[in-house]
Amino acid sequence: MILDVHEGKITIPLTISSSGDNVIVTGDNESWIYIHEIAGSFSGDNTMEIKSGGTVLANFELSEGQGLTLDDIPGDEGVPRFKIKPSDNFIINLGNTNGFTGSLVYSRRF
Amino acid sequence: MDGYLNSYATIVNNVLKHIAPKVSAEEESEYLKYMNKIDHKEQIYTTTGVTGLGMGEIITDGGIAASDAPIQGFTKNFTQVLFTKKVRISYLTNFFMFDSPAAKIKAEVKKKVMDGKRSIEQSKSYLGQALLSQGWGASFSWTPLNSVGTPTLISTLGADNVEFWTNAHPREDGGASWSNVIVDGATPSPVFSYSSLLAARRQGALIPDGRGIPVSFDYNTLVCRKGSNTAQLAKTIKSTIEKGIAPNQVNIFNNAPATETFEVIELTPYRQLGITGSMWFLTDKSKKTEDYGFQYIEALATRAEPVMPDAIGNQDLISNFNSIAIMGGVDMRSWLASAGDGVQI
Repeated sequence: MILDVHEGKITIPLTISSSGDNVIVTGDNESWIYIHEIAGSFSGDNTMEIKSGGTVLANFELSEGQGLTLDDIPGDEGVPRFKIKPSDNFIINLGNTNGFTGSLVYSRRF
Repeated sequence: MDGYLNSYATIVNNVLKHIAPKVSAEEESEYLKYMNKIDHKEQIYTTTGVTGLGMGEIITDGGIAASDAPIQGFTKNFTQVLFTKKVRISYLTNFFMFDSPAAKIKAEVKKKVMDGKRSIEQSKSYLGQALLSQGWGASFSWTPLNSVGTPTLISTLGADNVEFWTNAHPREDGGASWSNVIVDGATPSPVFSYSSLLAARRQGALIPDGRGIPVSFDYNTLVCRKGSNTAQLAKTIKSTIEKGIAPNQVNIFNNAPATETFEVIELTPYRQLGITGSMWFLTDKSKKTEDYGFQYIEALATRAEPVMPDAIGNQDLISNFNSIAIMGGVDMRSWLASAGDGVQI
């Protein structure tokens, strides 16, 4: 059963290596940003924060080469793993310059 | 546009052409779908609430009961204002565009492009939506969508002198305040979903009357923006509930829905001061009366004034369309609101 709806999903590559906040998807005051999947790995040990603007939604501490896969919750159709509020940017904060390489799947919800 | 002939060079030239009106579709007065209409011929309309009695009590044999009486509630004054649309076209423009036997714009198209009544209805519908979208504040500045016109300060205070949507509505007897802002778990103003619909109805059940007794309204009507994801999801959830199935089940056993179905009112997507796609409101349609919710008070229905030459003497033709009315909220117990942004309280 459908629990939420959103626009079509968009897949983009994820290649970030700046420590601190990295704006991955720019916020829009008319829509939420729904994060459906983050997948990839680090080139070295690092920490990662998933943020909606200034609000931290999740924290991870990962080793070099350790894969990360975050998906929507199985069975909850349309319900994203992370919800980024209207006007907030979707931000990934890195603890150091060891880069993360992978992909992102997101959509907008109006 | 200045209404002078040089602004219509293509329309009035001697090239044969089809004139296509670019005008939105006719629609009924959208605001009356969720506002109660009151015909009132005086400038100021006043409404004052009065509570009932509190609950009865148990006393011992020979005891003396406490005295009780109704309490005068909150008062609101509505002052009617002038909605207007002024059209000015020059003498030559009127002749070559509309009146000449060779005029390019025929009567049917003229009616569409010179429809001042429609302009006023659209301004009322836009103002009605702005009351919904701006109801988290005490007032806002309203201008027409095309910005032709001066700003007007509009109040978004109910009879209880607080914002339409707040968690601090006072109670007439001085008891604990009540809230009509939807909160789902720890998230205020959630997006519309089955979960937040359940949360809203749980919350609505708690709203008290002036003496602390639950009003037990039935929040049976969802108001949202046409074409939004909110409206689309609402139709899916509504249809699923009406089939007797819970929208959130993930296994093969058909659980019954945990709440009743609802109507959906979709509003024109004006944007700007109109409601956003994420905003949604629940109301008890049976309480669309003089006592609760939004009121549309009207002294003069939209009227086309006689066409007259311009007073400055240049023979421009002036058409005015006028209506005298006002909109606002009285007792907002019959409404629940979510800004759909996960933030607004």
